[in-house]
Amino acid sequence: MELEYQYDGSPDGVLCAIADAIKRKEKPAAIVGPQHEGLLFADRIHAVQTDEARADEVIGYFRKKGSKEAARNLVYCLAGPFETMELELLAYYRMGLKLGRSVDRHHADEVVHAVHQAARNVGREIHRFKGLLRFRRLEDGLYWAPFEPDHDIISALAPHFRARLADQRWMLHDLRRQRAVVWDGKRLYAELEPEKLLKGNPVADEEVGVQQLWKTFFKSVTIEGRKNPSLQARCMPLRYWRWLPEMEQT
Amino acid sequence: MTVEEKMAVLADAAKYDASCSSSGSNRKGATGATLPSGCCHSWTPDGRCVSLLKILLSNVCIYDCAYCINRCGNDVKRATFAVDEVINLTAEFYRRNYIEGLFLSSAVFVSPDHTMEQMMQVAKKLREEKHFGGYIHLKAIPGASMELIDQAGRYADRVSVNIELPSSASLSLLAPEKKKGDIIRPMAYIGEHWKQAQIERRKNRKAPRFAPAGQSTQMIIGATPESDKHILDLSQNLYDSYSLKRVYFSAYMPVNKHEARLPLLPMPPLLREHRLYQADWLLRMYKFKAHEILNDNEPNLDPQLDPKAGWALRNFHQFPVEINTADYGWLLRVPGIGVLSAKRIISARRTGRLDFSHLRRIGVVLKRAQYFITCSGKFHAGLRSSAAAVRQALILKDKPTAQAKQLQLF
Repeated sequence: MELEYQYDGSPDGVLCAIADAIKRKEKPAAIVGPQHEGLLFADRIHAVQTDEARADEVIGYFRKKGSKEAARNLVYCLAGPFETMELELLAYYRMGLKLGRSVDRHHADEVVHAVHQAARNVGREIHRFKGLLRFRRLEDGLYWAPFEPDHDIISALAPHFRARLADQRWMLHDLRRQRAVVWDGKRLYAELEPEKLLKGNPVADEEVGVQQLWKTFFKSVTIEGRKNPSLQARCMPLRYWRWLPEMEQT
Repeated sequence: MTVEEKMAVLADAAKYDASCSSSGSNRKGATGATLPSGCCHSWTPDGRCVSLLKILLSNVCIYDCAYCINRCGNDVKRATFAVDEVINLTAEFYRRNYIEGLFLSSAVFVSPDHTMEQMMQVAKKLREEKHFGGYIHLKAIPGASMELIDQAGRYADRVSVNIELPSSASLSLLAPEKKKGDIIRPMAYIGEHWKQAQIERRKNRKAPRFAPAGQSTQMIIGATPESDKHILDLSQNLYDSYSLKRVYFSAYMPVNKHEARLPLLPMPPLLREHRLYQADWLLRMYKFKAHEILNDNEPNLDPQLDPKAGWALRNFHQFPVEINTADYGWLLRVPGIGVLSAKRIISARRTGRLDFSHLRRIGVVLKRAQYFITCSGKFHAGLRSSAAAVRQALILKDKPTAQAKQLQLF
């Protein structure tokens, strides 16, 4: 009996697929989104209905039954390339329900290892962008931070910047996914039309001067006698350079 | 002089300060907060990270230290920031997320007290007027009064005093105006008050902080004849006696070409610096003592082999270690097992016996560890070897020696 789950390819869809499998006590041989090939010979196909509220419940339940860390691992995995690891996520979920917080002790287990690795990649990028994100002041006083992350990390980053830059208005803007989060001084919200805030709102006059000072600092603090560009590129991958003022060619 | 011209002079003059850490503090203000883990914001072409706005307040100096680019006898461009200029730079950079905070050092202008007072003003104004909650690292000026050091500790996350050179003989030769006592006194003061504040804050969450990220120091390596053993013993002593968080080593760069008291080196001794940092890691994270790493018969680190592997080969008779039963301390001593993988082994083996394929998943570097461990009594693929053969194998696998150009760990 080869069972195949089909879902819409979204993170919420995976969570609903997990919920279905748990509720129906089924072991699908594949959970596939529209971008991926299913089984060659599926005996039965189940179409998963995506429901945002239900997806949130799946996470909340896991936080309670598993642990906070395990729930965070799951969320991080869903911010990364999860389209090939749906079955591992289901297995991890089942293990978490059964074992509680000790699930993350199973470092030697294949499933746990795969989940940890994927979550670590996303976690690493989140930490990197806490440092590498750059704000530019626009004419109307909004600080704009464009970036192109590998993973969908914008909602994980927003609270970090709210904690430290609460007294200025800003917008994090993921250009790859066209997603944006705005802090207006009081409230954090997802901005569906980021272009609207940017239109007719060029970079402020003072911005050039501040960036110039930063570039001067960056250049002056380099020790020529210790040059090591490969180490630099390893710590700060080239794909992130585009939005760093200090890496602009002058 | 414009602010940009000052920036060029005073950032350039600060670049030999090795410390870049922004970790260890948990603070929050109206603008700015610190991350206990620290955070790097950029990396310069020398591969060192930029975490703090690292500048001197001034490079006008009354001293004439032989190794220093800013000594008063040198003909270099001089500049001094006004207190408000530093504050504005810090705030504007912070708003754009260029930096985690400020690392302010200075040459000694007018007098040690005057210099320290100005630096302290920067920190005080940032905290009290700007309500700045980001990271502040202040360098304590040797010879400044303890009241000023005390205030610096109230406003800064870290205060550090540079020990400059590994022995007082070298110090009086190369920096005759700096006295050993002037360096040790503030260090002892900071260590003592840091410890007290830690205890107070455990009792009362609202007790005032004192340099919550602790103190660090820095010394120049390779300008004077001290052995690695001497340097490590000194580091160990500093960690034990003054509760230092970090000792930084700075490979000597010959910036003053015609200085008879200093050696002529074609290249800064970067590999030696790297090995010393590896040994320093063993002291801080791996529960080693300095006398285990080096002794009078072997006073210098082996350039070909990292110090942990060196220790393991000298003590080859104590291996192999059984992964499924060894305690944490012994796991840490195995080359190829780090702090993280040792912890993972401890927690993973509560769920079942571990074999070599599990270890790979856990993150153990088997190509190094395989000579020193058994799983359920068995060596990896029946491997058995002598210390000499293992040494050869490890040297071939140690990339830094092959290239002799790495300089990580900043």
